[in-house]
Amino acid sequence: MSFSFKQFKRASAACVALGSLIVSGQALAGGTIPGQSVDNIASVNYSVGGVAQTVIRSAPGAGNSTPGAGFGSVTTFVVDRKVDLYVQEVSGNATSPVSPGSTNQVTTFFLRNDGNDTQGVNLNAASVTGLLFTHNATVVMTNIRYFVESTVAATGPTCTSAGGAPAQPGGMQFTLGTDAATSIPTLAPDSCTWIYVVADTPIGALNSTWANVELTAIARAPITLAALTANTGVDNIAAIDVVFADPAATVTDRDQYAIVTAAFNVVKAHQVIDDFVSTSNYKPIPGARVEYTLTLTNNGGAAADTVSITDALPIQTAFFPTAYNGGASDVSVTVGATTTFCIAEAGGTDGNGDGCFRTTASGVTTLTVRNPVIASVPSGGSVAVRFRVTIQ
Amino acid sequence: MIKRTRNILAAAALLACGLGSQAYAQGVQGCILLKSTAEIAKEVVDAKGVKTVTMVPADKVVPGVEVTWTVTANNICKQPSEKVTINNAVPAHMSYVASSASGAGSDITFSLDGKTFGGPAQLTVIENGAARPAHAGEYKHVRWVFKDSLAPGATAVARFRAVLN
Repeated sequence: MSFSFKQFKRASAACVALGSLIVSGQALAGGTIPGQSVDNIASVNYSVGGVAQTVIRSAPGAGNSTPGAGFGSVTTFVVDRKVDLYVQEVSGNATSPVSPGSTNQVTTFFLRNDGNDTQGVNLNAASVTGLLFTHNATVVMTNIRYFVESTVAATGPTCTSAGGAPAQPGGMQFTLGTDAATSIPTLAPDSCTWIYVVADTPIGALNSTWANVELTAIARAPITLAALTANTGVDNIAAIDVVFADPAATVTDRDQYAIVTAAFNVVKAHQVIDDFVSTSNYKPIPGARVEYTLTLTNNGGAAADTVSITDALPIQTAFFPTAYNGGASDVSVTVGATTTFCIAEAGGTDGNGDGCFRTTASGVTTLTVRNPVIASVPSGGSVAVRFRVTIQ
Repeated sequence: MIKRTRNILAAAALLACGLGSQAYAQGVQGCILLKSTAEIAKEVVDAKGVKTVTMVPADKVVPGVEVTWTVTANNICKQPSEKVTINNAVPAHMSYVASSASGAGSDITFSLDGKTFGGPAQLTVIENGAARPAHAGEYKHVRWVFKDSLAPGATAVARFRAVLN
C-alpha cells in the first residue's frame, strides 16, 4: 500500500496548493473582499470500547465517516459584494447664516464606502422642505449644484469617527472651479471624501426661515458608473452576488441653511422741548420747538450695514438746524452707546458726505440719515435718530 | 490491479479535497458520520406581514453577516462512541460571536492557538506587556467535549456563530 499512499499524498498536495490559491485574497479592514472563499472543516475524536479511533473530518452535504486527515472536505461559501455607502452632513446643525440674495452658499457632506468592494458614485442634490434640526424649512434654495472635493479620497482613520462624520481635514474647503467633479469614478472600501452642495438664497426669503437641501449618493459600477443590480433571487453559493445594504444602493442626508436678515422695529416719538411761552409743561403751539426721536431696533438675526432712514416732516413744521453739538450739527445719531452728529444740508445733496441731507418736494421736507453716520446696526442693537422742528 | 487501486485512491483524494462528495473508502469507514453546514438567518415576511426568521443555507454573505456553523456527529456503528470530542477552527476571515457556541451535553472550551483550551476566563492576551482577557473575536478554535457516550444511531450537535469580517 505504500506506493498508493504516496500517490494519494501527491493528489492531496495538489489540492492543498489549489486551496491556497483560493484563500490568498486579502481581507481589508472594511470587510472581506468579494469572491473570497470561506472554508470550514470540523473534526471529531472519539473512542470505541475504550480504544481511541482515528480522527474523522467533516464534509458538507451527506457528511464524511472515513477516518484520516486526507478525508472529509470543507464546507464553504463565497463572500458576496456588499454595496454600502454612508453619507452624513458634517455640521450636525443648521449651516451658518445665509442672507437673502446671497450666492454660492456651501453645505458640506461626508461620504464613505462601507462596502467591501470599490464602487463608483453618482450624486444628486435637491431642495426639500420639512422639519430638520427642529426647524420647519419653507424656503427653496435655487441654483443647487454639487461638487466633489478635489483632494484625492482619504482612507483609514481620517474616514472614521465614533460620532458619525469625522472632521474634515484642516485646510480642506470648497473652492468654486477647483472642486468641480460631480461624480466619483472609484471609491475604494473604507475610503471617504467630502461633497459640497452649493446653492443661492432667494432674494425674497424672510428672516428666521430655513431651507433644506438633500444630497443623494447612488453606488454605481466603478469607472463606467453603470447602474448596479442587486441579486435578490436564489444565491449561487459558489458565485459573487451583489447585495445592497440600502434600497436601490442609494443613501441620502440633509442639511439646512438658516436664513437671517435684519428686521427693524421702528418707533417714532416726539417731545415739545420749548414753546418759548411757558416755563414748563410746554405746549405744541406755533413757534414751539419739537424734538422727534426715531428709534430703530434690529430684531433680525444679522447686522444691518446699509441702513438708511428717511422721514417726511409734517407740513406744519419746519426743520430746525444747528440743534446739537453746540450748534454745529443738525441731527443726533446714537448707535448703541455712541452718539455722533451730522449736518443735514438742504437741497438734496450730502455735501460733506456725513450721511445726512434734506430734500424738499411739493412742500414736504424729507430728512435722510444713512451711512456713514449709521455705519452698522448689530443684531439686537438699535439706533436713535433725533432732530428738531419748529411748529409753524 | 495495483495500478487500478492507485487510481481509485487518487480519485478519492481529489474528491475529498473540495468537491464535497462522499469520500468513503471501502472498508475504512469510521463510526461517526461528521457533517458541517453553514446557515444564515433569513427574515421572511408572509402575506399577513408577519415576520419569521428561518435558517437558510449561507447565501448572500457579506461582511457583518453572522453565519451559523453546525456540526453533527452521527454514530453509525452498533457500539456506543465514547469521549466524543468535536474540534472546529473558526474559519479564516470570520470572528467568533461571543456566547454563541452550544452543544447539548457538552463542555465547551476555546483556544487562541489550537493547543491550550479553556473557558473564556482562562484565555488571556498579552497586549502592551500586560495580560488582558481575550475578546471572543480572538478565539481561533472551539471544542465540544461530550460528557456521555454517543449511543448507536444517536447524533450529537455542536453549533457556533461567526461573523464575516
